[in-house]
Amino acid sequence: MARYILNRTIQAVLLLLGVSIISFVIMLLAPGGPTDFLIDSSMLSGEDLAAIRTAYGLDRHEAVQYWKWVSRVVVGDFGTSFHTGRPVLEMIMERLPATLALNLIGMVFIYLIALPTGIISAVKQYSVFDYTVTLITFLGQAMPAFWLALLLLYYVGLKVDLPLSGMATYGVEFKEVAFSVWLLDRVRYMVLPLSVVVLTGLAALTRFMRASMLDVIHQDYIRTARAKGLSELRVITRHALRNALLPIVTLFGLTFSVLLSGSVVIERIFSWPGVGQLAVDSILKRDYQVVMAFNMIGAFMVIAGSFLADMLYVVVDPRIKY
Amino acid sequence: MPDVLIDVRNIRTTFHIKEGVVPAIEGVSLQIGRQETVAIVGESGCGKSVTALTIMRLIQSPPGRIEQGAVIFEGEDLLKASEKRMRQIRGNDIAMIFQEPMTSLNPLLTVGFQIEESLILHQSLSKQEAYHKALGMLKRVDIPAPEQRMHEYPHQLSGGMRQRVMIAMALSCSPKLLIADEPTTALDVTIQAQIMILMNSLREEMGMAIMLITHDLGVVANMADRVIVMYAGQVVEEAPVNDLFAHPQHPYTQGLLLSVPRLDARVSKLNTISGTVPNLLYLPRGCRFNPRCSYAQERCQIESPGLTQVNDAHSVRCWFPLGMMGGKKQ
Amino acid sequence: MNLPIQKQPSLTLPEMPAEETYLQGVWYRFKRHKLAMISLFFLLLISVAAIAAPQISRHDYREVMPSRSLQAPSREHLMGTDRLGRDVFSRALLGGRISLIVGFTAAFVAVIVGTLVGVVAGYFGGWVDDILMRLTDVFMAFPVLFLLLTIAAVLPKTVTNIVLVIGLTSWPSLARTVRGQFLSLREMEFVEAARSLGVKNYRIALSYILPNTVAPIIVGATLRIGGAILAEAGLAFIGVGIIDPPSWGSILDAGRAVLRQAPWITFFPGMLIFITVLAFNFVGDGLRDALDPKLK
Repeated sequence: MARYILNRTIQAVLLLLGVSIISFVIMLLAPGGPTDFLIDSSMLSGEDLAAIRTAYGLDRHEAVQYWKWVSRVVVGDFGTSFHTGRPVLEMIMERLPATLALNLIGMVFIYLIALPTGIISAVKQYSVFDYTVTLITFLGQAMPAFWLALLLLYYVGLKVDLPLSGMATYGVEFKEVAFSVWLLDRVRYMVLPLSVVVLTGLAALTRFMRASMLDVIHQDYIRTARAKGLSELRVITRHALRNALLPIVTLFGLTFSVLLSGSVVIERIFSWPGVGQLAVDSILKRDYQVVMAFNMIGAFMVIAGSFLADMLYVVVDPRIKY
Repeated sequence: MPDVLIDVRNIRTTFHIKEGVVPAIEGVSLQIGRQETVAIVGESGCGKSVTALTIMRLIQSPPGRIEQGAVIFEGEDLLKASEKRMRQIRGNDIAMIFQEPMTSLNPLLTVGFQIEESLILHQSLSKQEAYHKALGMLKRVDIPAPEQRMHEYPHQLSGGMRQRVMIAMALSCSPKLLIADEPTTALDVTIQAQIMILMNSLREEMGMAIMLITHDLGVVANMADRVIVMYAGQVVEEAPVNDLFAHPQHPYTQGLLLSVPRLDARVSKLNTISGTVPNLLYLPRGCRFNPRCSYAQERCQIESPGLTQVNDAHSVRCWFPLGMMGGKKQ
Repeated sequence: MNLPIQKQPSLTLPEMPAEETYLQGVWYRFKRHKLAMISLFFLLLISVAAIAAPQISRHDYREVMPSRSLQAPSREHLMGTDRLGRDVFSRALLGGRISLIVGFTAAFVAVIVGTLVGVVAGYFGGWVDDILMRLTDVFMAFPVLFLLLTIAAVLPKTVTNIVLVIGLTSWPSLARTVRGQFLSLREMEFVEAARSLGVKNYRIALSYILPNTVAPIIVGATLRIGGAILAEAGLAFIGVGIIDPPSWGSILDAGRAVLRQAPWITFFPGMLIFITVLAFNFVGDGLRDALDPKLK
């Protein structure tokens, strides 16, 4: 077990190195650099620009830049933004809660709705319910999130009195108003973006759950359970369910990173003050330091997710031992 | 057969798939007496397993459908029984073991749990009592270190051990009929013999009947009292085991017997039945076996034969049974 | 023959059909999937419309008519006009061209790369497999959206670049599927037989194994076309997509600012993206059923 964890850690470090080199190279290949995007860069003299470049180490050899960057990241320092001059980590951290709130709550809803729906759909295969669910999931998988968001905005947001952008009314802070007032305010802001997160996330998980359950229901051991005289309910809950949920653990690990990047487009439409907006802005402005930080944190979450899934497997599946 | 335990009458089970309606079994009738071992033989796809699953009412529906017939078990028609009543019978009065011990046990539940489950359900035992009874069953099927095995998962056992667990599970409630669907096909030859011997001794000990589905004629010769031969969803011959081996009446049965390699015969070439089992969607006209039958005549291609008695215990579905033609037409 | 014929209704079934080729079987099974057939028809229709866009539309997609700014859909302007008075229908027709081209070519790139990596890794195994799979892992570890955005943002917004970006970020899962198929097929008897007869490695890979992995590749390709159309629209929506000529995504993005006054500018292109992606998914589903009769 210890050996396995060590192996996985080494792999993770190598993967992160790979990701960092690729994203660094991509940024280097970009025509133009971050100084092009500074406000009024045309007003600066050549000397000023050179001074800025020196200050940020942009005049050094690429390999040196990369090395300096890596050695700082190892101790948790992602550098400072070209544009705001603030530490990158600080910028990300202040926006993280908004994104996590949206995606975590979204994820809870998605699992709460998709898992039972998928299971019932599989158990009642060929029923009207099953056909309906299958059709809806097909529609859901083809639905562009931004289009759905705009439709909701137009047909719901503008008709019902709901705030269309941001995540809180100015001045409505947790400590300063009654809890119910605070809660209602946050809920009102979150309804629309959350609906989009949930509605677009449901389809894939429902289909996956249904497929997994169908697969299990046709296994020999389910026939054995029926041949014992168990009730259908017990066959499903006691014998099929846990087996069908196993692949969901893997899926959960693989999609763990959506907590961070799942709502980029939605944040943009609803002006949700999360990391997704920051990421897009930084990319468009070539704010290397921030972009690199996002790629690294994103990659870390992907790797952490799959590691988490593998560890969970040891708990839920007696066949797995490391 | 003085005391009939189960009387299967004229059942027809179909599968409704995209291509059409597949008649998996058609007019199958058979009887099994108390404590009798009846073997059902035939190539794969001939309807052996569907017959078993029809008796248990475990046909997946859709696509499967039991369309007609009756299964009289101790005077009660199982095809008319409520689902609740069927659940009382399954695992308690009629138990079943399957071909694939590797996949027939739930991988996430302990061996002990899976045996105890039926006991708690059917015999209303407490958890404690069920544990001891289950442990006793593991001992009876000769599993070494049973206390330890109770807490283990199926993947920790070999194929043979798993089939022993399946047997322990099936017999835990002392059923009157055990349906064994190719119980040894997936196992090594030496293990096969052990499992068969075990089943036979448990049958004598517990006084149950066995419906043994197999295509291993060696097993049939050693275990069965009577044999039912199926082909393309129909019973084509039925006879006591010795009679069948000595005087097969149906050309298909004869083909099956001839395809068994024998050490004592000076045959240089192994006989096989030419051709393959017909697609049940596109059955041939007349006798279902006629395209593969070397004795087929014009009548065989037009009319399908019914089951006819050769003697009291022996019947055959053939226009020109081998016995009537001398039986030596090889 | 005057013998009484025993009537068995269940036996009066259709005659066994004549030997059919594999492709005929596939087509026969595909035709039964009604939604897939409808989708295929729709896709053909929309492809023809995209190809013949200049002939069909009454207006040039660039034609600015300030007097007709933000007009609601009418007979003259089937999908209304945008802020500059441009005909949204003409723009959407041309946008279909861009979106479909991106969809097909990006899927093609992904399939080529994914298949190649999968075939090489799966056939040779050993260290080749190790290296290629670690590489695939790196690509999988990348948060796809960030990678897409990063590359798309630093490159000029040409169709080729967008195609390459989407294509080169959507191959890893296909590579894994193909590799998995290869690993299992490699051990099959017919491959062993070919090997023992001295057939060369590359020939075994190409003529014995690859044909057996065609089904998942074709299905994967079809689903990736829809995926690529969605990805392009997403990029366009964030502001790094193809703007001139516009893709469906960029028309939609442009309409966002005037959503209140002119919802049709966002409604129609979004609808087209939705239905087209849906159609590709249905066709993929139909192909999956048709190509692999075992999966019924």
